[in-house]
Amino acid sequence: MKIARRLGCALFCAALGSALLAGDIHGEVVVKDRKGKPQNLAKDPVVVFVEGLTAAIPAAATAEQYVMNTVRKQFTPRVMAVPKGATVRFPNSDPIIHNVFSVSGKNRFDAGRYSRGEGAEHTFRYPGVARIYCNVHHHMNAIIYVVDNPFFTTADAGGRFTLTGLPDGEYTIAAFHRLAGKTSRRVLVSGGEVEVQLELTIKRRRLKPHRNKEGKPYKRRSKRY
Amino acid sequence: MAATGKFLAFWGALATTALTFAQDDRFFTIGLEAKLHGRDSQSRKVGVPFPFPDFFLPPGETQGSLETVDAGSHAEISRISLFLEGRFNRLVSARVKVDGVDKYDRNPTSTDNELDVDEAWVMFGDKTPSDLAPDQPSRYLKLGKFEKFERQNDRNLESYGLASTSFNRFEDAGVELGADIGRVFYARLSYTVGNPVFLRDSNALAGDNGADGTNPFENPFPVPELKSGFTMFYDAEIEDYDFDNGELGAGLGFRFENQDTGNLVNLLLYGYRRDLADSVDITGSFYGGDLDLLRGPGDAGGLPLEGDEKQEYGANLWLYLGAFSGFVQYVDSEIAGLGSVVYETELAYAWETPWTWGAGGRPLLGLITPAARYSRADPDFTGDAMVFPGPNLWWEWEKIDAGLTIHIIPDLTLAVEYASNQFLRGGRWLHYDEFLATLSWRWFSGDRLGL
Repeated sequence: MKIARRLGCALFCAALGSALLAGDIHGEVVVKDRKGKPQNLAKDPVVVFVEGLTAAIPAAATAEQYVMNTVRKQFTPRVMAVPKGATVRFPNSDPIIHNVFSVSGKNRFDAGRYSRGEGAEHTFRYPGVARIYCNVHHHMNAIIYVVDNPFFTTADAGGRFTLTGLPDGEYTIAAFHRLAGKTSRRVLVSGGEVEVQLELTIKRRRLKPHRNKEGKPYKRRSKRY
Repeated sequence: MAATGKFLAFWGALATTALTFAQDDRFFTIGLEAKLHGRDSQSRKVGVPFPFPDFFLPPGETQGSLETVDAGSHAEISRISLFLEGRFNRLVSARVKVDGVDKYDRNPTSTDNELDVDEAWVMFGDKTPSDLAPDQPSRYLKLGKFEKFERQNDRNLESYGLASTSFNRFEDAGVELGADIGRVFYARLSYTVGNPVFLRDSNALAGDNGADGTNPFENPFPVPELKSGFTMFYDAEIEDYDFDNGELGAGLGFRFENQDTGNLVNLLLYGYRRDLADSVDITGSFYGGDLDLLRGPGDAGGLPLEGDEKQEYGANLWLYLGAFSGFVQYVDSEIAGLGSVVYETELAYAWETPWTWGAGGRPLLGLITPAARYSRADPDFTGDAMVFPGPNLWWEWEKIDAGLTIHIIPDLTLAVEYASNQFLRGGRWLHYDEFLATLSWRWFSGDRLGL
C-alpha cells in the first residue's frame, strides 16, 4: 500500500510539474478525395481533439453555447466536438418539422418533432461519438464528438488548427471528418509549440444507411408523406 | 344500401368502444379521402362486324361499334372514401372503407352503385406489407372483404396497367390465411367468393355495357349515357357473398431485406382456381357475369370455350432500392379455356426535394415521384366476330402510363399522367390515349394500420 501511495504521489507531482509547462499544438489537416484532390473544409469541417486523455474541463468550456442548427434539411455544422457535460442546442431554421435523435450508447436521446424555432437541447454526459439523425428526413446526419478533456477544436476551411495550453507530455491527436473517418498521430509536447500534419482520404460519398429511432428501417418515402 | 347502413352502425359502435377504452396497443382512426380528376380522353370509334338487329343500335346507326367511353375533357369528383380502422389489441385489427361516388370503379359507369363497401375485414395476427420483411415469424387470419393478397398496394400512378385492371383491382370476400416462415419465406392461402368475369375499359371509366334501361328488348334503339369503351375481361366487383363457386388461392413468397438499407426484394408466386358460375347478376347491367357473358347474346357462342374453370397463375416481383421502386406482375390465365398472358412493370423514383418551403411545419413540394408503367395483354384465342359481338376481347393490347405525383403538402397530392393505350386491329395499332390529372386530399385522425 505504501509503495502504491508513493507511486501515486510521484505521478501526481509529475503531472502537476508538467502542467506548469504548457505547450501548443499547431497543425494542418488535409482531407483529400479519392483522386487525391484536397478539399475545402468550410462545408464539411474536421474536428481535432486529444484522444484518450481524461482531464479536468473548465466550467466555462461546458457552459459555452454549442449550437447545431438545422438548415435546408441538413445539420450545420455536420461535425462538432464538445466537452463532456456540454449542452448542445438544436434549433430548426427550416419552415418544416424536424426531429433530432441519437441512439449512440449512453448519449442516446430523442428530442421529438418540432417546428421552426429554438428547438431542443441535450446535454452530452458521456465521452465518445454521438451520431445525430432526424427521424423525419433520414438523409440528415451529423456527428458530435464528446471529448473527456478541454483540448479540442475545429479546423478552419484550409485545415489549420491550434490546440493550446497542453501540459507537457505525449498525446494522441485525432482528426475526424464525417466522410473520411478518423486519423491520429502521437505528438510530444514539451514546453513550446509543436507542428503536426494529419491527412485523411474521403472513402465514401455518403454515410452508411442507418436505422430510425426505433431501430427499424425508415418507412418508404412514399409512405412518410 | 341496407348493408352499408349496418356496416356503418357496427363501426360507429365499435369506434365509441375503442375511443372509450383507448390503451397503448389500441388505436382507432377515422379517415377521409377525396379525389378530383381532370381527364382528357382521346376519341376513337371502331365498328364491329356482329350483325346487330336495328333495334339494338341507337337511332340512325347501322353498325354496332366500340367507342371511347366519354371522349373529350372532363372534370369530375371520382371518389370520396371514408376509412374506419383500428387495432383492438396486439393481435386484432380491422378496417372498413366505404367509397362514395366511386365513378372510376363503377361498371356500368352510369348505372352501378355509387356507394360501395370497398373493404370490411377483421384480422387476427400480423400481416407483413409487401415492402417490408417481418421482424419475426408471424401468422394471420383475415375475414371479410379485402384486397387480393398479391395486389400492388402502393401503385405510383392513378391509372391502372392491363394486369392490375384484369386481375386484382377489386376486393374479394372470404378468408385468408398467411404465415411468415422466418424472415424470408411466406405463404398465403385464401378461399373467397371469386370476382365475377365481366368486361371493362382499361382507362379511367369502365363504360356502359348492358347499362340498366338499355336492354333493347325492353327499350328498342337504346342510347346509353356513355359509350362501351374498348373492353377486356376482368375480375369485377363481387356482387354477393355466395361461396357456391368459391375461389381457392395460394401463394408462396420469398423476400430478402438488407436490414441496414431497407432495400428489399419480394417475389410471390401464386395461383387461383374456381368454377365459373352459370351467371352472376351484375348490379346496374342486364348482362350477366361469368359463363353468361362468355356464351354471348342468346348463348350463340362465338368464343372457343372449353369447360367452366377459371385459373390464374402469376408471379409478382416487388423491388425497393433506396428511392427507386419497381413492380412486375405476370399472369397466365385461362377462363373457360380462353387463355391469355398479361403482364406489367412499373418503375418509380421517390425524389425528396431539397426545397424547404413549408406551411404550418409541413413541407411544401417535399416529394415528387415520377413513375412509368408498361403493360401488355396477349390473348391466345380468337373468336368469331360474326357471332360474338366483342372482337376486342381477343385483340392484343399495349398500355404505357407515365406521369408524376407531386406532394403539394403531405396529404394533398397532384398526379399528372398520360396513358398511351393501344390495341392491335387488322395489323394496325390504334390508340385511345388518356390524360389524367388527379388531385387527392386525405385526412386521418391518427395512426394507420400500414398494410
